[in-house]
Amino acid sequence: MKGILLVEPEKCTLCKACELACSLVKAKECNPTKSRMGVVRMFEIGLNIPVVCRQCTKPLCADVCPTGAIVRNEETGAMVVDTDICVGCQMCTIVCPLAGISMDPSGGVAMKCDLCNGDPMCVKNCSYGAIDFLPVSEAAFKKRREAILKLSKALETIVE
Amino acid sequence: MEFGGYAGEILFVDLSKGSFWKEKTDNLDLKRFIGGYSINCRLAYDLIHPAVDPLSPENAIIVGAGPMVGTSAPVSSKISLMTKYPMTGTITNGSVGGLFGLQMKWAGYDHIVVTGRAKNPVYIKILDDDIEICEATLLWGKDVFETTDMLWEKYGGDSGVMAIGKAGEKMVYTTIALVEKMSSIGKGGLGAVMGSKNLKALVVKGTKGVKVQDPERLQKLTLEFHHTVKADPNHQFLIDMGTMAGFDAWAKVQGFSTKNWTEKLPVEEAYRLYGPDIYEKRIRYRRISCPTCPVGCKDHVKLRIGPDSGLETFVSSFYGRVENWAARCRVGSYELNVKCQDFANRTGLCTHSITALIDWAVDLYKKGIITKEDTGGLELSWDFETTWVLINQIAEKEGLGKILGKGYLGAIEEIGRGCEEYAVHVKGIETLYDPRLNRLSSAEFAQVTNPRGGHPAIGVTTNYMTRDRPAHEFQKWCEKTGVSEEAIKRIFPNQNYFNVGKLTKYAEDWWGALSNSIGLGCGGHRVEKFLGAQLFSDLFTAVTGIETTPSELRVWGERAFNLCKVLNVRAGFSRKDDKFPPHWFEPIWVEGKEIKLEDYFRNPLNSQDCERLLDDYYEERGWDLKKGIPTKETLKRLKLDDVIPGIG
Repeated sequence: MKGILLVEPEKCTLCKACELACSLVKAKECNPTKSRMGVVRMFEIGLNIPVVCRQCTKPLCADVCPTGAIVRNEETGAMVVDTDICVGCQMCTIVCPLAGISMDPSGGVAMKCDLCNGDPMCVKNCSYGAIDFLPVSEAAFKKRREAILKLSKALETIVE
Repeated sequence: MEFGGYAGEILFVDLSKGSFWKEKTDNLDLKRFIGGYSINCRLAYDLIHPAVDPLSPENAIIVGAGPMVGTSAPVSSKISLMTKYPMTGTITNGSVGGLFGLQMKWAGYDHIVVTGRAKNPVYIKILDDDIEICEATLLWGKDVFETTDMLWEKYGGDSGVMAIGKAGEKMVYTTIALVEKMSSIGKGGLGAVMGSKNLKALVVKGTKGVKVQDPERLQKLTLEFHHTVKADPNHQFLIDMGTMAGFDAWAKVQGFSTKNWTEKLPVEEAYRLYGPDIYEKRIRYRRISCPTCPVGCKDHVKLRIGPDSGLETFVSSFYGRVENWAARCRVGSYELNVKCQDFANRTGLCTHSITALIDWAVDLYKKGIITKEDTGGLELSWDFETTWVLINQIAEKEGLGKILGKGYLGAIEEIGRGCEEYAVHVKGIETLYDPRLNRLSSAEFAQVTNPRGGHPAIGVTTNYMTRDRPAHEFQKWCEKTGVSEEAIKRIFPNQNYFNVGKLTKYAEDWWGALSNSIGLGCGGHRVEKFLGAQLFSDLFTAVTGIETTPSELRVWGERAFNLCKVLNVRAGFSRKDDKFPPHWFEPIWVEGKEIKLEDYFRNPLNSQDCERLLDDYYEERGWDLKKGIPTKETLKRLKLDDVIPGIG
């Protein structure tokens, strides 16, 4: 399926199920340093923030890659690293503004989220709905609904 | 390593010598002691002398993470920590979740053993193979939150941290350590033990990860599990409310004991001051979860009104704090409740212990057993003012607080004057569940038999905090968790009864010992219905490669529990210490009526009945009835021949 990863930090509880699921499916071990995505603890602003590649429409990583190793999978919409072609120059990790791509600790090549061929494991393992995968237009609907729910809760408090 | 899930090494740190070394986990007898709690006990048999002074350099802190910890297996974050506790003299395991255990495994360690005493304040840094005993001059004197923040600043917000506060530095007995600011470990004085070693904190982070035997199977089982949990109609409620999901059961059905265990907090007051709606609007801020758990229950709370508006803190087991500050101390509002809890968090005090002791102290004052001479002129009442003064005194080791900070046994010795009559504790630890309100089920009974003391974590089978569930539901739990047919016949002599003495053994072996040995499951009982015994067993096999069944897993649990008991028999504990608090045989006042002790099926119980149930417990365990300790035959049956000298 083609879609986007919708992240809702206020639902994230830092349970790390996403990171563990990702590293298990991609690297066959339970190791967050080999996960293609991760959660950042920010208690000081009362949030935990899942960080994952945004699969940009105009991907800076692909633009800067000297060997053309980062290519769009048209079915899923994901930018995928061809590890046979990647020379490990790390230019992609320098230009990405959102930490969507990093170097594989075991390989010397770049690693990034490939949306698990259209059925992301992180989404399936998240019990809190903090990360979801859905078509672009459905994502907009969902966010609108969540926004209204939040607004109505706030209005309840004010009215009371 | 022959089996998956294990990190491979045990780290030993000697703070006196300032040295550390490693041994291979393979050299331990994994076929007898599967990990975590179990290996902690076997290490303690050699390393913690039964007569050791808990605050001496010779006491050891043994941290153990079972093979499941650090994997994606659901509810696999809990580690065990064993030491000799100053408040009780028991040598037992506590358990705690959070990130610490996972990082410890990812750094390469199944166990960490700390002995000795550093000359100056230190913290232990463990970053894969980069081990260092670091100077903690900048941390000493700082509270738990500041300490944790400083360590996160230095080593990254994803490192595991276990830290003590000022009260632990001063070696107050009623202290704990906190993992990542919110998960408590070590009721009975771990804070004091670490303080006595000049050990402010441990920080751990690893990049090695954990390898499992069958990644595809683990992936599939974990995914199925998450799917089941998400499909449960109650799931969102459990997440939204955290541990407050149980508030109705506590306030209405079970009840919070108050006025030193003589009354039940009026239901009206419980709802008016502490109802779930108030929690939602004025207190709750964010839900936080232990790693791998789908029904996270930890709270990031923030006050919205009052003089402390804006105060933020972190709380585990929030409903438990409501009980503690609200019912025992009658602080009078949610905001004051959270204010007190924040103080306890930052100073590293154990809320369960200090609230129980304050409740008792106020009762003693009202009875004239202690007077203004003991309190330094302060009039003691069940209110916020008294509570605030006393918790400050306990943290600073001043005044009456200095005495209370020793726990029941120390305070009883110092106060004398018959104060013991009003102290509700087992082996020096306050009880949590009041069986007169809850009825005597295995959770309440286990407070008496737990080698640790009145700490309640291990006695639940199923139907946590419910009443009037049919006996066959408990029987089903036993069947599913591999209890033998013969045992089931003994526990359930007919369709409408269970023998709580016999049943408790099976709870203790499963939740107390097995769960904490392999590092799977949580005594919080929120996931129990999702994490059934067969899934438990399958997950264990997927990670370790060891083919097994619930009944075989049980043997590991039973062995570990017996070994823990042997450690304490060597330290002088026996039947005389498995003592039902005399208070339980007094009636409790509930809305103008007297309620007396009954079992789960409403049969009245007196102290002779309870002693008979204790006989039944020992018999089911294969222990000596008179002494209340394991027999040689039982230890042999459990392949614990090498520790038979421990029972004398």
